[in-house]
Amino acid sequence: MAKNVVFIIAVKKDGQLKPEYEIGIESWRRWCKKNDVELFLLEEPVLPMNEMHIIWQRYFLFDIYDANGIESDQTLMVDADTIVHPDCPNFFNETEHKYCLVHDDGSYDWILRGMEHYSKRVYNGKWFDYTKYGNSGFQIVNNSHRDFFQHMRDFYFENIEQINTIQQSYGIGTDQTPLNFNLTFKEIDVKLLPYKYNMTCMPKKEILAEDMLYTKLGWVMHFNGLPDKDKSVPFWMKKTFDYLW
Amino acid sequence: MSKNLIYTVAVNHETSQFKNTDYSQYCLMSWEKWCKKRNIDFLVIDTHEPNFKYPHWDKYTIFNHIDNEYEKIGLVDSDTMVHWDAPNPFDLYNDEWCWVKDLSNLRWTSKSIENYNRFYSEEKLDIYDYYNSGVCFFTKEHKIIFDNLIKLYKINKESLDDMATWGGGKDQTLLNYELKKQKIKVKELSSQWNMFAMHKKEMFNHNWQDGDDKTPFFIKYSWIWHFTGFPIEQRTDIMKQTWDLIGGNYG
Repeated sequence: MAKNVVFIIAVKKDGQLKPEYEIGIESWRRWCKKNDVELFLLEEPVLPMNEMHIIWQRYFLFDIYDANGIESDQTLMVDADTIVHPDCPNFFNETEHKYCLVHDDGSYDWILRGMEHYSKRVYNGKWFDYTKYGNSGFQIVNNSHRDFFQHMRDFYFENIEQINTIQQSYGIGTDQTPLNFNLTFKEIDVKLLPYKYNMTCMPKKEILAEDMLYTKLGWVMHFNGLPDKDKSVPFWMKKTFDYLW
Repeated sequence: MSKNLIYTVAVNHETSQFKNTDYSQYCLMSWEKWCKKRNIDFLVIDTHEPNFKYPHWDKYTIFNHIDNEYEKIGLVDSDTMVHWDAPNPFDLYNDEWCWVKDLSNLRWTSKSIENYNRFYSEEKLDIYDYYNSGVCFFTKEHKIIFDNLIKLYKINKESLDDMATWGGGKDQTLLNYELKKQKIKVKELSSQWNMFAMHKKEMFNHNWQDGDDKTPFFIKYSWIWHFTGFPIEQRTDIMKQTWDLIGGNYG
């Protein structure tokens, strides 16, 4: 029987992975073992990274599976700057076999600027409901989404110049905003899971603090949106891992 | 066909740090004009019921102010304004209680849920199923909720008045508990219908990278603006600036 998989991009830079990402991955390794879920680390890019940003390469997921003889039921594609709680329930049971994301309301400035730029420059002025906008750092997909992933890659190569210009000029991320546009326009049935499964921008929710309140309020802690991130992310990820695991 | 009602409480009171009418004038102007355009009645409760220590409780007296004539009713805080082109929220529901989820400050919510649980010890309130009470739409069949909360206040006046100073709110969490206890059918509205914590969400910003459109995001992309969740001393100024910017659109 095909198993569920957790898929993480873990491509080394200058021969090593950031120590905090190693910590995040270790938490997932342990959670996967506990829940009979496979862990797959993408350690080599599919294409040279100067041809395609590594984040966009996650949409080769099913090709990677086919090449490696992996049969999956559902896959969580999760960012390496996350730590999963040891008691996190098996979220694969909550998906209804839909494309699952968690709504992102951390910075509507970032989200709405991104949506406006992409709408104007790539999507001919089309728009979608931003209150359903999901964070791409936690995506649960299944085999029915193979065509959509092909669409994401086709979209990337058809619009590569515009995408690169937007990414470089406006600092509004990589795949997240196009993912949301494409999910909408391809009419993919998306289920938004609660915040506890992708706790983004925790300082804004006022829970990231020495009392470790955030570890009591959710299951997947996403260490983005932190000020002074080069220092704070390694600090909080290590502290969280040591506290929980 | 019966009419619908929007109401707010706008009371100047000694317990309020800032004079209500200083900022609620902008609330009232926007709602009055919007309601008139849509043939919806608008009621302002501007007298305080002296049995309550805080005017936050006055909203629960609404059924003392009206008879049975309104099928659907909307409650809006006096620090809200409505977009001049907002659609009619009464078209969004049938018999549910409608409001917007509030995840803006999970520390505050967590503490508040814990504090007020003493009045609802049989109930477990999920922090991710917690709503903001500043904008609610409901029906006359929900009168029991209002009656029960007033009853709860009367019985526990001393402790509730004391807890109101603890920093976990005054009535919002109780309303969440009461709806849960009464198993009221809830319809979650999108955040466009109660855009609170705008400062945190960065909704006061505009697209500073593109062209000359300096319209703040909250005006472009939401229907009801709730001026809360930032330093309270800024509220009157921000509501005034908003009205100065868009007041002419209400006709």
